Amino acid sequence: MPKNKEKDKNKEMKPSVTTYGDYEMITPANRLRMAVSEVAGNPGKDDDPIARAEQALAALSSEFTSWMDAESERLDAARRDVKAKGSAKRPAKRCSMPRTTSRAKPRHSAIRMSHHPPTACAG
Amino acid sequence: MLRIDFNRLRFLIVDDNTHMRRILRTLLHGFGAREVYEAEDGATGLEAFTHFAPDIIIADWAMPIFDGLELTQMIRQPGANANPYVPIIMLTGHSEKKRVTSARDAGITEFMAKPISAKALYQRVLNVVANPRPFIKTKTYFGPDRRRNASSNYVGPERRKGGKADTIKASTLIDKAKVAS
Repeated sequence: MPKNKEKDKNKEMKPSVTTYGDYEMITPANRLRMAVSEVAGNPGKDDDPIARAEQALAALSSEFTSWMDAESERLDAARRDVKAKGSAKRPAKRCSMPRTTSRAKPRHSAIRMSHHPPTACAG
Repeated sequence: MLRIDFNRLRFLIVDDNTHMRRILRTLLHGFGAREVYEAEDGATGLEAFTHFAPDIIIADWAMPIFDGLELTQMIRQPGANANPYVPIIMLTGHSEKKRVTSARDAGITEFMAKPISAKALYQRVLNVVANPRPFIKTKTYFGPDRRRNASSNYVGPERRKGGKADTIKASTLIDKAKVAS
């Protein structure tokens, strides 16, 4: 790509910044605009992405019962474990790091932490 | 009518529940998406964000290592990564007002409560793609503009200083009483 064109492209991708009294308003280049198009009229059922996704989900729904069985079994195993060993009087495992420290964490340590065993958290 | 070419978008799903990831992946593939990446916790999600440079992130709130809120805060750091402006759709079962406010203040783009539907997910994606909001940077906040609409009825104090924001007048109680009588 010629240098000038490359410069123009970088310029286009650069967010525009307007500074006001105590804040800045930043308008980033909309990289996702290329994924939007305008179509005339209403799409047919075969062409409707929501209908297609619902259909795919309906096909998947036959597996939901087995998922629930597996989840129930896992919960029951945890319950039996607690009943057998008793609930240890240790502080409950946190699902996450304290908010006060998260910002200061360097990225490499966050990646290393991914090797820790996951704790059970409700979504 | 606006239409999204999902096959031109790259998604990252960050959720510790394998079944929820599968449901989201199924929906996105149903919409036509081809590139869908997954991560099972906040740390892996951050790593995947750096590695795959997704166009849109769909993140759960409660996750091991660090949660969706902390992941959002790490991504929304200008200069810290390649794309701090990436749209983040927060997906959670916790839909209390306080939670929604916390998520908004962390810098999420859209909020979606479980259980999800194909329509709800499609609308969130459509919104972030077709109607992106500008970003606001203050001493304490960096993220999408939390004012989705300009309300002409607003009469409270203006918290943003300078520019157009200063032109909004705050009415006193006396003024309000005069108008009422």
